Amino acid sequence: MTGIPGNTIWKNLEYLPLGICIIDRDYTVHFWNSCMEQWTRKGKGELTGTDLRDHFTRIKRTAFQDRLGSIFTGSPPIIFSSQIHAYIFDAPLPDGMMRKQQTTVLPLEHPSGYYAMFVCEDVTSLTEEIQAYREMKNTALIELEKRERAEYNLRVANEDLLAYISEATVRLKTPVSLIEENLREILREVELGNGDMEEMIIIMKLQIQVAATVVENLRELNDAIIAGKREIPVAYRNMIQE
Amino acid sequence: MMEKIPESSMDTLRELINIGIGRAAGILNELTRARVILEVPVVELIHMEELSCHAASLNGTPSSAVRIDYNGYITGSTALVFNTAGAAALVYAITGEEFEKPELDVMMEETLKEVGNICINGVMGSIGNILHERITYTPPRYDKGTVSSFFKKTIIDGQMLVIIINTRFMVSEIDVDGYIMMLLGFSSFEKILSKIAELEGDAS
Repeated sequence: MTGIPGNTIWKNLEYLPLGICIIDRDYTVHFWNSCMEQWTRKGKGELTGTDLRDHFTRIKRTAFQDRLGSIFTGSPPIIFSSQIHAYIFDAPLPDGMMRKQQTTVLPLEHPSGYYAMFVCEDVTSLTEEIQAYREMKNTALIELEKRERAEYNLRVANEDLLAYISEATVRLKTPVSLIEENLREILREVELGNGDMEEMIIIMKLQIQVAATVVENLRELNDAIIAGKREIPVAYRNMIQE
Repeated sequence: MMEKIPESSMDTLRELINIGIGRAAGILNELTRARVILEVPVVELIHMEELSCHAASLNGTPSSAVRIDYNGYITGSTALVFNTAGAAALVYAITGEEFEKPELDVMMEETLKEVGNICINGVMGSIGNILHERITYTPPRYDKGTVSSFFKKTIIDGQMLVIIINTRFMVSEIDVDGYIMMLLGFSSFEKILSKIAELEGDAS
């Protein structure tokens, strides 16, 4: 700490869980708290009384200095968000990545002029949590979308299958009705005692053929359902394959 | 009833605001990878009671605001207000992230705070430059709610006026209406007008 009057008040900032740095309009460091020491691995002795720009390259940038300049005239505080700047002070983590920082710069009024106080918050964990939450939410949304699509496909497939079975039933109804009609005719002739045996045998043989065709059709339908043949509606087949 | 403001004073005020907005656009362009254009603003002066009728695109919709309060030579509050969906679209465009949802998470609120900070500082800086008086500002803070709720807790004695500065933020393929609302007590507004009159007197 330098000998600026009033710096006893600054001592209270020493153990805040926030990085605090106070500079004058020449960028000379007057206060560097222990949190900053820990984060940046640069001690008070190294920083105090020196030009902050010599230690942190991002502070050298013209765009940064242009904004900071107004602080020394007592302008409103300035915010440097982590999404736009990532960090202002190089503060490496054990894995070598820099701590994400949210920094507010406040003007400190003093009879000798305005000082700039950097209040630096480490938002690395918060950023990671938000990223993880976003990824989790996106995954959940993708899964939900997949599920909704699968439900829609299943509904379409069921409708197609029902239509297919209905059509197959209609196809089978005609020969079965014919068998029923012919057998009733034979029964009526037998009951009346005027049946011609030869003619009845021909009709019965015909019924056997029709019945065999019906059985064959049913077997094909069964095979088609089990084996997923072409006859099965496309949507239903796709759904089985999925 | 508000006294008639000389048109030349309003023109000078508009000019000051325009310079501030221009400066803010310049800073936003330097900071972000996106090209940010801020349209020439429309400036209106209204009574506080008329606020809910103004800022038409915000009425009734959830809004997000970045706000700075100040006291000293002038006392008041200045906020940059967007509808929340527009604010989210703006933050995604500025950070170059793919649009996900029309809401703001904590990190995005901080980014919006920086955008608001730049715009408000631009306008307040322009006005401060002509005042040359001591004003103390609070750090920017983020609020969400409705337009009329943002200034409910602002305590200013006497009649209150609002300078509404409507500008359009154009970034990439999006454009979002933003409103800078400057709430001032009548006496503070008179002080600004008086400084403007001095400035005009010096210039003539």
